[in-house]
This record gives sequence, structure tokens and C-alpha cells, in this order.
Amino acid sequence: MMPAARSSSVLNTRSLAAAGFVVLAAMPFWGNDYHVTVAVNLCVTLMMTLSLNLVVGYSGQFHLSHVAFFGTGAYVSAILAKLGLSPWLCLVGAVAATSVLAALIGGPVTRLKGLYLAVATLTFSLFVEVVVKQGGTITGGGYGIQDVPALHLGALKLSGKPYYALALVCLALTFLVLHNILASKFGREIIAVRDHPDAAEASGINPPLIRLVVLVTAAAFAAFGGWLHCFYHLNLNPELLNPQWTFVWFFMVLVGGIGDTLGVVLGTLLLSLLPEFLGFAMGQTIFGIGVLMILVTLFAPRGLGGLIEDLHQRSQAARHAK
Amino acid sequence: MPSEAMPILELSSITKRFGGLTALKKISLAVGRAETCGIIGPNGAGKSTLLSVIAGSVAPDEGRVVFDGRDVTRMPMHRRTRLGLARTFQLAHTFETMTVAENILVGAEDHAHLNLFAAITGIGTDSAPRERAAKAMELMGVTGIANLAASKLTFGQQRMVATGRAMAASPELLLLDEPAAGLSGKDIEALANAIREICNSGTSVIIVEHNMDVIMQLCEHIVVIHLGEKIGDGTPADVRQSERVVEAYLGA
Repeated sequence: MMPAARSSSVLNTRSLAAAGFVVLAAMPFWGNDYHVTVAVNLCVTLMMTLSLNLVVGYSGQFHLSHVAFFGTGAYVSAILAKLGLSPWLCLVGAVAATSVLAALIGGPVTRLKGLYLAVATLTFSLFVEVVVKQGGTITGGGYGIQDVPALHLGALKLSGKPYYALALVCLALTFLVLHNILASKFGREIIAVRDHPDAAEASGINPPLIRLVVLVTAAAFAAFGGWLHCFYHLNLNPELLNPQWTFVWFFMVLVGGIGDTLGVVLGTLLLSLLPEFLGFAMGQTIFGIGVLMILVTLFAPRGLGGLIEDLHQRSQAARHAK
Repeated sequence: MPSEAMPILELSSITKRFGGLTALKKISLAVGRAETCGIIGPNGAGKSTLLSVIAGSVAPDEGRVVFDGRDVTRMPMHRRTRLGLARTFQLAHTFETMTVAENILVGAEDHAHLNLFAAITGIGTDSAPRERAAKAMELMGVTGIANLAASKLTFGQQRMVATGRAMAASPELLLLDEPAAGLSGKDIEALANAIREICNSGTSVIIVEHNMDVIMQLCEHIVVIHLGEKIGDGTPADVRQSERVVEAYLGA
């Protein structure tokens, strides 16, 4: 439903998303290990861009620390699993620890705006990266953490295609919860604070509190994504916390259309899968994203979602003209 | 203890300075229950600052704001709203990406509690705010445009939506900051009717307004501000006869 200004669009978000989901979901089951890895990584990336979009798109806060929450989720999962905790319970630990971290940093930074917020959160992200890289035996420093115990469902070890099925469930859950939030009173509070903080406050909303809860919610989903990443790869590398990932996710959100859930899904699919098909290395991918960003800014300032909507409206107008 | 006889709002010697400028000088006034009070005065007199002090977006340097028997001088705006003190702004300030219906629903909803369980699961939504919002939309005559995005509205329509949003909260006291500014004659009439209906339902209203027709038509109590000082306070007849008021504002 939200933003409702677009609810009349033919891009019936729900049905199109459902169709895309089924196609996306089915393909890797006929593929090889490489396809499964790409698909699991894509599920994790979608969880990251959808949750990032909640903060930057719907609540309008330019947070550049998403990867820090993702990395914290992954590392806390790995450390707890190595200590012998059940990998399922590690999810609870990862989400709880990351939420507390987000609440601690969120208290001061959600009072900042624009560039100040961006710089403060980027600095925080670099700080977390340094802590992990210098974490000695706890985080494995520059070597990271190897041989994390695998996730089991009963006697079944979850890896490969069964793990991919789990990733799909996690992604669906993320999508559903974020969708419910945006349709709820809390969702309206988020949009109200973005659209007009003073008017929101005059309606009885406490804007700093809403900004903080949005950040903690998004961080919790980032930790969820980190947990999913951790138990697929079973090895963590500190490069996981490189702030470049926040920017890559940010570009996916921007290319798709900020604050537009379907657009963000399209942007993520495009920028995740295209470099895979083209066999790009990371440097080439970043370069490609840069070129694409320029094209999108020039020709589709509202992102892919906005472009499709405009084209549809134009074709409808042409039909009416006949 | 709040009682029927006690005023809904009491200001005692409110002073506000901005740097070297004293915007409000020791202003005291009382607004009764179900009363419609107009605040008038020339541009720059301090009317909007006074409204902001009452609403809670500007803190006074001296003095007390007592709402419904409770000292709210240091209380932030959103908590005053939850106690029943709603306001509008000089500019409409609608939530532009939301529809008219959603804008007014935000006004009707109780924002004191964050129900994350309901937000995540979509279970347990309350229908009472939707009913209050529907009533406010009807009162403001915006039911026909309920599904339009606020950004697509004319200025007059946005004003009606913003006023409806404040009214949907069912406030005890409604603060209207120049509600008629920029409205056409027909819209002003609709607005005046809506305000009259709110007053009849027992809500107290404070209106800051330049349009004297609107003020004289609606208000039984008028406060005149000039250069940050209160120079008149009484019925419309009293104020019209006051030499000081005529000299400073109503003019010859």
C-alpha cells in the first residue's frame, strides 16, 4: 500500500513480486553448486537491500553503516557457534547483540541529519571493521573465522540446495514483515516523520524515537542476513565488513528506486546477477555500477520502478487518446 | 483537579526572547472550556510565537503554560498532543506522499504506544481511529478526494486536510495558525462552518488569523497582541472599543 501515491499503479506489487519470487526460487534447484551459491548470496543481498531501503527510503535517513550490522550479525553467529551454542540459537544472539549495538549508536546519531548522519555512520562502520580486524583470537583478526559448525535440521545437514530452501524462507519472512510494517500504524509513523517531522510531532509522534526504532529494526534484519551468510559459507573473512558493501547495497536501492519495494527488488536482481553473468571481478562491478548510476540519474531519476511506472502511464494515456 | 469552571488553558507572564529581540513580554491569558478565542495583531506582533509556546515547539524563557490543570511548560510537543492539544501550521504541512485518508488517519491514531507485534504480524489493528478519521474527513469536506496523494492537492485542499488531521485527534484544545490564509471565499465559508461545528462539540479553539471577518464571526473572546505585548483582551465588542487596539491594529 505504501507509498499510497503509487497504489493505483498497474504494477500490483504483490502479484508481480509473487511471480518473480516463484521463478527466482525455482531455478537454482535445477542448477549446480555455483548456481546455489549465487542464489543464496542473492537472498542475503535482497534481505540487506530491503532492510536498507526501510531506513534510507521509507524513513529518509542516510545511514551508511548497514554492513557493520550485517558483519556483527555474522561474527556474533560464528563466535557463539564456535563456543558450542546451537546455530539456531545463534540467530537469537546475533539479532539481539546487533539490535543493542544499533540502539547504542542510534541514540546519538538519529539526532543528526543529511551529510552529518552519513559521515557519522560511515565512521562507525569503519570503527566496527577495525575492531573485528584487531579482535585477536575472538574474531580471528585478519584471518577471520574458519570451520563454523554447520546448521542441522534434525539429522539433515543444511548445505547446498536445502540451505537455499532455508534462505528462501528467510527472505520471504523479511519481505512479509517489512510489508506488514509499512502497512501498519508504525509504517505511517515512519512515512510521516520522513515527509514532515514537525507535522508528525504535532500529531503526537516522537520523531527521534521512530527514527531509532526504524534503525534498530533494519539492523536486526541485517543481522538476520549476516546469520544466513555465516552458516552457508561457514568461513568468515573480515572483508565482509568493508564499507564498500554498504555502498553496493545503496546503489542497488537507488538504481531500483528509493522507497519503492518492487524497484529495490529489481535493482538488486539486476546489479547482483548481471556481474555474475558477465563474469565481472569486484573492481569491474563497482565500475559498472558507477556507469549505471549515471545513466539512471540522467534517464530514470526515480529508478527502475519509477521508469516502469512512467512507461505504463504513458501507454495508458496513449490508449485513452485513441 | 480539572473541573468545568477551570480554564482549559492558562498562560502566566510568558516571556520569550530571540537574541536581543523580545518576541513576547509577560503575556498572561486564560481560555475557557468550549470557548473560541481569536488572537489578532499586526505582522510580527508575536502571535505565531505565542501559538508555538502553547503548542510546545518553542520554549518560553519565563512564565508557565497550564493545560487542563497541568503544568506543561517543559513538555515536548508530541506529549502535549497526546494530552489533547492539537495544532495546525501556517503552511499546510501535509504528509505529501500519503493519501488524504492516510494523512487524517495519522492524526486520529494514538501514537503513545509502539505496538511492534501488531506492526510485524499485521494482527490487532484498531478500527476506532479509522472511524474518527472518516468523521473528520466528512467535516472538512475531503471525503471525495480521500484516495488522492496530498502532493496532488491544491493549497486550499491541503489546508483542509491539515485542519482535518488536527481535528481527527479529537483534541480538547485546537490551535489554528492562520487557517484562512490563501483560501478562496467558498473555502473560507466551509472552514468557518467546520470550526463552528468543532466548537459546538465542546472543543476549545484558539485561532490566529488576519481575516477579521472570520475572527469576528467565530470568536467570543479576542486577544490582541502588539510588539509582543497584550494590548487587548475581551469580547469582540470590548476589543473594538479599545482605543489602544484601534490605534495599533484595527486602525482608522
